[in-house]
Amino acid sequence: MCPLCRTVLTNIEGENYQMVYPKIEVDPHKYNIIKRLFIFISVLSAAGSVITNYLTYNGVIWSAITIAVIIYFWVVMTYSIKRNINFASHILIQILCVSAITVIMDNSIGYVGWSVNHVIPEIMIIANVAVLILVFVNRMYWYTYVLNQIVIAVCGLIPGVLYMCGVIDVPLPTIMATATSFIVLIVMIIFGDKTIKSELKRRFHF
Amino acid sequence: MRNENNSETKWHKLDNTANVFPIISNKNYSSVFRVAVRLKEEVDGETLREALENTLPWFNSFSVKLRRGIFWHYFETNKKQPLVEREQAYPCSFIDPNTNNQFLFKVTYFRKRINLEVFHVITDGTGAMKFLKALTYNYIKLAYRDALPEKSLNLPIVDVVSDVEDSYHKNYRKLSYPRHKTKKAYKIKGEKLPIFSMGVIHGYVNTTALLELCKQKNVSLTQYISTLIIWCIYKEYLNEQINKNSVQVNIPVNLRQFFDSTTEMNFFSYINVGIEISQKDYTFDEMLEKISEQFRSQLTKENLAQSISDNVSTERNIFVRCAPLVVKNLGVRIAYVSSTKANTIVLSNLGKIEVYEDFKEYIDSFEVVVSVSKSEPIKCTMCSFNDKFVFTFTSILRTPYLQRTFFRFLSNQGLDVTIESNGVYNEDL
Repeated sequence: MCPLCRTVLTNIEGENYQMVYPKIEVDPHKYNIIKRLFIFISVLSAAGSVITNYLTYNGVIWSAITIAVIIYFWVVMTYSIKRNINFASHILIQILCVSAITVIMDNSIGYVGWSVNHVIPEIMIIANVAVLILVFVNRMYWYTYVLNQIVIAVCGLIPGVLYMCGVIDVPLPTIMATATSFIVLIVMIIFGDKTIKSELKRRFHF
Repeated sequence: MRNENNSETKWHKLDNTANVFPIISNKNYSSVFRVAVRLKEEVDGETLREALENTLPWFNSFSVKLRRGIFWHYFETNKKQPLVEREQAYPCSFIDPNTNNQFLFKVTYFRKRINLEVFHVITDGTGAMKFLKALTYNYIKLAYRDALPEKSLNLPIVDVVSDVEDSYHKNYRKLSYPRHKTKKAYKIKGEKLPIFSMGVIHGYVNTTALLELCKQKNVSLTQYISTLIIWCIYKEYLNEQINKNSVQVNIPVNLRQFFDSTTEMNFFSYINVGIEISQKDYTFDEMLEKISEQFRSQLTKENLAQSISDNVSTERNIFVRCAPLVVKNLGVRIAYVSSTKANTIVLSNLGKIEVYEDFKEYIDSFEVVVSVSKSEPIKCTMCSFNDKFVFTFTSILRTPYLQRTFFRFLSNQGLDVTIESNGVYNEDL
């Protein structure tokens, strides 16, 4: 059939024409259905928890936790699908999201400070150690983790700042987190030499 | 923590135009174009892989991966090897920078055709065609090594070893000129093909006959074809009626010839020619005269230097430079959407493709395919090899009205037109 005028072509001078393009099988609906299903479940869960929370309200806004976890799910899913290369950036996203969730949880069930006193500093310690392990495991391309490592190490100093602002009243985890961050930064400065310098030059060129 | 490879990790900045492409590209608009060669015999995948391995070291701008910085994207040397696959997707599909060992181009084959699909971030049509020709030479040398004479086997695969240079910056001169506000162009509308699919129609005509047609009117080929496209839109979509928006054809221009550059990176600009449909009874010749005049006034070194100046000075602006990439993303997207409003259609002419005489007998034709978007739903490319001139229309519209009128016009002028499509229009979608 002619693609322009849709005339049915008859045997043209007996020539045998071959397909010049492969037949492409694309199912554009498949991904959309899964995505829409998850959106539906998310909206339903969020709305359901808000309504239930409102009807059975006893002073605790627990639906905020449900909504935070749903948002966390979407951030992690979207990020994992799109950026499936650098593990250190996954760790960075995780510490930011988990820290936010714990603060929301802590506040929702009556603030006692366990999120900032214990969970966040401990998450920072784990993240710093995790990236260090990544560096040693994947030494060939360790320089690709440098930027994320710096950001994580700087994040690790945040509990120290919060302690100085008087938000944190249990000092030990914070001291450990701050110390770990400092050690990581010092290790990078001493052992990193030109590697860090050239990676940072690339990353920060403007 | 010592990294043995680190001392060899080379990097370079994206060229001025390339900065836009990583930001605006996605599955719906890939910013990928294809240059392809059709050989006389079926292509062997393994030989093609070997040919690619031999070709890549000659092209530094292709051996890269894309990375994100805080302020700009940048290229880093990619030490892996790209894959060679049988074609299994629509032409110009989005190249995910994390696939194909992080290369920003793809080499595929189907029957007698070798496809080179390139993410516009690394090079333009001229750079890609140079790579494809080198790849084809290497392929022919390997596939027909027993049939070729020693002299042909020793021919270099590139005539000039290109350099990785941002020629926009190299040729930047600060110029001040009055800025024109972007005027909205007429947009072709219609029912769309299913998402992620794209219709391709090739039209083959005789080069000599086509050039004769242009000679009769005393115009260049690009002038003639741009006018013909506007004429077809005027006839087929506007039904010869007045419209408040003009029909504008956006034509990429290779700047290398104007500024004596041999860069492998992007070095092109655009001119935008069009007709305001303010009267009902336009003739083709009237349109041709107007368009030819616009070509003469726009296609000058001064005008192109102004466009370079405009783009480079934006990039050099201290506020732009200091803005983090996330902020730039937003600004670039807004600017891009605004710029596409000025075009009805894009017409790209890669001109006459020349190859070594020794290899001509193995090559049938070359073709160029470009990706389309919702705002620019139809695009046209053209190139010629020997006496075979190939027009390629890509479209996401279900009905090929423009293409039909276009080829009927050429046919009515006495040209023999052969049509080929990728089958999308015939499928029961």
